[in-house]
Amino acid sequence: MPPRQCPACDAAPSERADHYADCPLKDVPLAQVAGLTLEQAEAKAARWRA
Amino acid sequence: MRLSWRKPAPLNWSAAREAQYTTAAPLLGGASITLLGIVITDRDKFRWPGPTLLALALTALFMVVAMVLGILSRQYLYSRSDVEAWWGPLSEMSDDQHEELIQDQRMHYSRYVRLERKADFCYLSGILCLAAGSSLTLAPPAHAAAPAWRWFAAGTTATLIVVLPLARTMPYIRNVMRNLQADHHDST
Ligand SMILES: [Zn+2]
Repeated sequence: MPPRQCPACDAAPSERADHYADCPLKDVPLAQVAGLTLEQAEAKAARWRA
Repeated sequence: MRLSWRKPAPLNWSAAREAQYTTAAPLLGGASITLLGIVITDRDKFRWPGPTLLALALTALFMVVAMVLGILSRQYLYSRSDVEAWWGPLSEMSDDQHEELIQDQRMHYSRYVRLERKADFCYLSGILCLAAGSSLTLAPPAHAAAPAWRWFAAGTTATLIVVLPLARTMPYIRNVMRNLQADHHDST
């Protein structure tokens, strides 16, 4: 299976614990956004920040 | 939000997949076809020739499909330096064009991942069918002299059928657990 990755910075939870430094989604835990599309991840990030 | 080029993680993941679809899959598919030929010509020497043939034929089929999908997917994978090789230095490009090329690459990368996922599913199914096929081939015929060793060999091969899917689903189970924990943390 292709590794699940953050749609913005491409970090994979199977490889590392957190996003890369300037990822726009970095305030959401990596495991929460990995494997999602960018739109889904942004919606999730908005919910997470609220 | 300005988005960048997409890349596999780890970076050489795609090179490993390429070896899987251009080397391993054809090899295993070919081996299953060879075995298929043996079982067809000597069917009375095997305990269950029918199911054995089915498993081996499915192996060959899955491996060929995995190979085709894997090779199809490869055309959608390229890096920023490939783009520069074809289009010229990005620094000399207008911002709009730069942006368009990034968007194309991102779209192609997700297409690559989707095809790769299907190819991987076929490859894994092929491996499982191969394990089932070898296990059925190893099962001793009814009139075998010392069948214990053959049963042992068949059983050992058959464990792959259980172990492999389990090993594959473990990361997903772990991920679901992690997400549940995070959601719980989120709601409190
Ligand atoms: Zn990220």
